[in-house]
Amino acid sequence: MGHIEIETLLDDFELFATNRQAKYGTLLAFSITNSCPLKCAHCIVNANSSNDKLSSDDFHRCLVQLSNLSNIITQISVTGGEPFYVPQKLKVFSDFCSDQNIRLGVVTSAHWAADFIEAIDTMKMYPGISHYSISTDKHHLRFVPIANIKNAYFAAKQLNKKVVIRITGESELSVKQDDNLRDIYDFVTDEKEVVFQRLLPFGRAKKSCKKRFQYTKEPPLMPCFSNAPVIRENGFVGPCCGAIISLNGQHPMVLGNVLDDDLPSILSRTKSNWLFNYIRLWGLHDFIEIIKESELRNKLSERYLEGDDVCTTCCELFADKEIANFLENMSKTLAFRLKVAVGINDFLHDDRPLSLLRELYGL
Amino acid sequence: MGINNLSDKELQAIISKKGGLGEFLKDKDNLAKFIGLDSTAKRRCADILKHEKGMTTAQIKKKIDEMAFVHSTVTDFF
Repeated sequence: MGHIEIETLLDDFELFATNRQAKYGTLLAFSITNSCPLKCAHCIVNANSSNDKLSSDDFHRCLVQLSNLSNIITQISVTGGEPFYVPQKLKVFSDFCSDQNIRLGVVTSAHWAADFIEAIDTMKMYPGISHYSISTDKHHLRFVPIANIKNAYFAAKQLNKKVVIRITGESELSVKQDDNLRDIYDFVTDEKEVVFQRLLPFGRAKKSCKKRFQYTKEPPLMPCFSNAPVIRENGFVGPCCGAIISLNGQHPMVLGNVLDDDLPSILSRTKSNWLFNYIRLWGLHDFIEIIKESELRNKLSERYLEGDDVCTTCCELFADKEIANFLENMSKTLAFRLKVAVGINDFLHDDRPLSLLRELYGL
Repeated sequence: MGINNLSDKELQAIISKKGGLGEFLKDKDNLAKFIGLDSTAKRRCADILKHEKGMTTAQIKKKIDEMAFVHSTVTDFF
């Protein structure tokens, strides 16, 4: 375990982080509805808790606005709620992505796949969907049996669609040891098509699953690996589809609302969201250290979700209005912005924040 | 890598004195001195893993694997 070995590991990690983050902006995520036929105890977006604000026409307008950007955006991911619960809206995305040759992935519980032939027929209604992510776990199983997952999986295979089965749980081990989910590992043709997604303490899961979370005193060290901005069913646009999607109302991570502004303008604000870009570069470690030295130190959490989860900590920090204001004010200084702009330029090879800074400050 | 407390005006004056932003950025010492950023070094997470936490290679490997894994999101299926 020598010095060279550690350096190699760190270099590999740096490469992994940079490659992943360099793709930011090529993918867009849309939550097209908060409605869902399921009402799961672990839902981080509190599905069925709010009314959708965007109509099919609103989504169509957003997509048309993206047409000029289609050379940049190569993938669209649709989630919810349950996208298949709002077929008109889903059709808008399927048609647009077919026309524009954009890959379209949809996250679904497969509640509509009780019968294999019906599952095929349903999928044929949306030829623009190229990727299916079928989500299941012990909460979903109360509403959607494994048979549906299997039908949707093989229907996607028959139609030559890419498909993964996404299982949410506390840990990958807990999921693999769950007898109710074991069938999935038996029927998939490749185990890589089963992916694990971590249960997070937000939405309904915060209360109903609280005994299932493990905590540590160590704050997360890693940067944010968000790979896509998200447009929510209420019109809000955020820089990622992580835990922060569960926050409602204004906070520094909100980029805008498509009911007030055009989508390309809103998306262009990712480059000027200095806090977000700082977190992409260096995580939350510095912020936590600075807050510790401030009068807001008592507002900091004394425990952090185990597993170095920057996503959960980010959401917790910005859920507190005083901390959010404190960080936002800190990000308004030229010193902060210059550091971020240089970091994005040097580490992620994107000179747009630096160009913006030249304009803003006449440098 | 603390965040520098120079006011906007102070920093603008320094950049101007150095010949503008382009010239200022050419000299990496300026970034280290005034912004606290060594852009030739690895990023903060690597620094922390290596130095501040005093982790072994095996621990670092575990942490990195954990990170790559935790950050799989609903959009990671393309």
